[in-house]
Amino acid sequence: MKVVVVGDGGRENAIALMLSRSSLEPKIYVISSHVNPGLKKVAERSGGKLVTCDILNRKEVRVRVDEVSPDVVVIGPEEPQFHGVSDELRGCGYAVFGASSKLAEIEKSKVFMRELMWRYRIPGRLAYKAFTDVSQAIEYVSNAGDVVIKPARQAGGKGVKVIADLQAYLSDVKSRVRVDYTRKLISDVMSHYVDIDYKLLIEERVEGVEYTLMCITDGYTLLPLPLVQDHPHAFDNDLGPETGGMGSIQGPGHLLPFINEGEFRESVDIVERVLKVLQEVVRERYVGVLSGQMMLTSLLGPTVIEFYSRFGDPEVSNYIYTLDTDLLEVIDRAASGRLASVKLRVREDLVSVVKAVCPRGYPNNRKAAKGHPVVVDEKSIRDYGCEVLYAGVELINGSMYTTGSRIVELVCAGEDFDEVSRRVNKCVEFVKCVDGWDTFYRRDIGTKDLIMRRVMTADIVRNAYTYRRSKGLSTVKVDWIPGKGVITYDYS
Amino acid sequence: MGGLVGVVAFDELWSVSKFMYYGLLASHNRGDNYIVVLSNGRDLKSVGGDITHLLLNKDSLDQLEGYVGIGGVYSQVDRLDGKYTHLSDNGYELSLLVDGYVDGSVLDIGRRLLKLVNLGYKLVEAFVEVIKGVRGVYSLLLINNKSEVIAYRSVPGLTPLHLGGYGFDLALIATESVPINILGGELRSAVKPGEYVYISPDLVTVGEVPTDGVVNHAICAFEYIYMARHDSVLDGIDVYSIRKSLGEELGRRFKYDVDVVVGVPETAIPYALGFAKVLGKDLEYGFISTGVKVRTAIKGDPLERLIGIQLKLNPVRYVFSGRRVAIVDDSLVRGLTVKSVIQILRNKLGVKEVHVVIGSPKLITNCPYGKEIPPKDELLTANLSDELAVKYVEADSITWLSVDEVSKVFSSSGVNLCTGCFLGGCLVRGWS
Repeated sequence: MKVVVVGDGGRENAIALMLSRSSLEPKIYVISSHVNPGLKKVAERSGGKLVTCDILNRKEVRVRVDEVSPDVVVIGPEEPQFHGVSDELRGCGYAVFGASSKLAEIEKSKVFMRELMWRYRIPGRLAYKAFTDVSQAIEYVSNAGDVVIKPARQAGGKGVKVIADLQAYLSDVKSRVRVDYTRKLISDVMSHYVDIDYKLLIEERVEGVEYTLMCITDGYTLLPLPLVQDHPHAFDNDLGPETGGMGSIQGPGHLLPFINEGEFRESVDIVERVLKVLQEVVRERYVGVLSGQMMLTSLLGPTVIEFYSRFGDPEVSNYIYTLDTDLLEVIDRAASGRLASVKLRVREDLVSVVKAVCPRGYPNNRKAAKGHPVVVDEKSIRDYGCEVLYAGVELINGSMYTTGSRIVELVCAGEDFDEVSRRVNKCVEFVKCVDGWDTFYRRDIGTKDLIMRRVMTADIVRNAYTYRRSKGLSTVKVDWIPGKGVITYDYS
Repeated sequence: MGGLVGVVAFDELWSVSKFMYYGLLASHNRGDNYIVVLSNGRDLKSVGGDITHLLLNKDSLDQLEGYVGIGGVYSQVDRLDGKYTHLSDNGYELSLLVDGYVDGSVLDIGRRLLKLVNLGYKLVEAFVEVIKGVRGVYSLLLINNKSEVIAYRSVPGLTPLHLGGYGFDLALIATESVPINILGGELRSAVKPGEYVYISPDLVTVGEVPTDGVVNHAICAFEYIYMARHDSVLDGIDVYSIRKSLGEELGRRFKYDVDVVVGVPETAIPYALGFAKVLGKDLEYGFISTGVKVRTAIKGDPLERLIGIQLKLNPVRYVFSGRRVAIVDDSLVRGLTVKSVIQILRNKLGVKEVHVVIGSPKLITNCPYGKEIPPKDELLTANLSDELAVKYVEADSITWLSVDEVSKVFSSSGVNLCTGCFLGGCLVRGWS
């Protein structure tokens, strides 16, 4: 069997690794924008190879795929989906695992996603306001209060600004930041994209515990994978700017220590309903991964923050030890609409931890973070029972260099989060920039202390949303302006 | 004694001067004077003075621009020279702010740091290299004009230091946890003794300054007893719960019969709550203050102290007239507060009995580390016998806690306590 994987990051390295273990003994061909040493190794070991081209160019990718003539193609990242790579290959008759460009709008356009959720009254949706006009957007944010500012288009996870505005004595500072930030966002980020009318999305801000629910679907059946929690803050103690994800934890089983069965089921229900209406609206069948970036909030309980039309990165890496199912078989069945009979097996006895090692400068100064020579002592990492997946690293003339993003993801599984976390920490020293450039990672991901803090936050949030539900406040929000009257917002 | 505050924005869009202002305001309980240093990534600017003036004219601080800042409050008896230094060399600027006692000079630390930085050391490496040879009992904040900040709690750990965050945008540092909350942030951890936190817009790291030999870590008992705000959480322990438990302990030890319990505002209120609960007596709101709140014990000038006491303790007649009263205070330093109150209660309000109840052991020595304990010859319990103390303040009795009883209250908290001023020798050995 021949498989093509399109993409170049840690996510694709994890996918390719899992595919390579299949009993179908596939030859794996990777189509990347640069030479990722991890992907290259997996491909070559399987008897396939890695080739490079512009993976956002549908014609170029098709030429590369034609050279292989694979049984199934997996599109890893969202941008090739947005650029019609899945459409092109499907049009040529290939079995493709990856959302079409129209279905991937669920990730690409945050306005489309919110509109869809509101139009079909799907639970877990937040109030929002979308802008096409820059001056209107700026006018609005100056008085917006406690909100989140997002670019209207998915921009590689960049550009989201969460500004808690609860202290009246600090609100003038925050208003200034919102306005300045909006200007910067529109000129620096949104100006790159001509494929969307909306510029800006303002959402009500919620607090709680985040988790990712990734699901595989053939358009008929939805297979939820175990929940994973990512850690977006760059530094320990949840400090620092938002990144693409500094690491993630998964388990035990399909839950997390701070999410209960009922909340899991509600989350699956939300994704199922979105999948259904999305297919109705687009009139296409969804084949690939649909992921809900969720948050357990005091306002609504399980709440949708974003949707992804692909696996989360680094979230999917958690499964390399704990998913006890032949992923290639699942993907192959999904690509041909035969998912109904598939059951996922998960190692109930294991939990998994992923940690990214990053060059200083990531995420906000990638220019400084780029081009540093990297060495990785893979043997020592494996001696600790861990695996290394390559992310933002490219192989040039036999040497590895940083691309400015996360360098590698270190993955480990075991019986206990704290122990697994410590084992991963020991492996970090085996990843180095040889020019002395600083690297960083999060020591605290998976530790008992951090998980306890999440459990406590979730308890507070659960208490609050349960109260709201008991008073019927999960579907209405009541506001009263003294002297003017009562305003009711309908969330039903 | 003082308090430190630091704010680092990960995004240059922020201006942190207003955050510094409210951070200092939330540290006001630790000192009346302030200093602030801000960095805009190019140079350092500083401003300082009396907090009361800052309250009236906050523009002076508002006009300073910067997305990274450090600051501190310090009391009148403390002095800023020796605690703060600013150095500049060839376009590189560095400021240091220390709370506590440093063996050596802050200026000297700054000079050595600058020298290593000039030799090409990274700031953290230079810091560890210099600080590992600096003994003392202190917390420190460092800022440079590259927008790098280091917060450090020295090995003995006598003064707390806390780290917090606000969303994806700010890292917050403060002696107590309260300023972090007031700034809309979330308390994330207590900096451990001997630990430093390096914070810059593109990197945060936590590390330890290596030490030679064994050092006892202990946090100052007076932080929990008097210094910190009731709403603070120090090293993971709720200050309020400690004060209430100490009050309960006092209630179990108290031998007299009274009609009502009154706490001296504001520090002693949780003590009085615990005390009254054990006695099963009413806790009354017995004193009303006039004007701005002041921490009388940390005033340097005796006349100012007396003015402070008189203004904050006007008694409520209904509570005291003809009653047997237990007056609860957190500590007995010079006895001035209790003495002046009792005089009014007896002579003007006709109180029947006044029993003084103190939520801490007898103070018998000053603190060698600059904590706000006056010199030994100014401590009532270091100079007067129990009998004489009762006569001096004109009480019917005085009850103190023993060091053992205090230790008992802390025993389940996992916190090591320095009770040197009650025992006559400091528990923080091997370092000072």
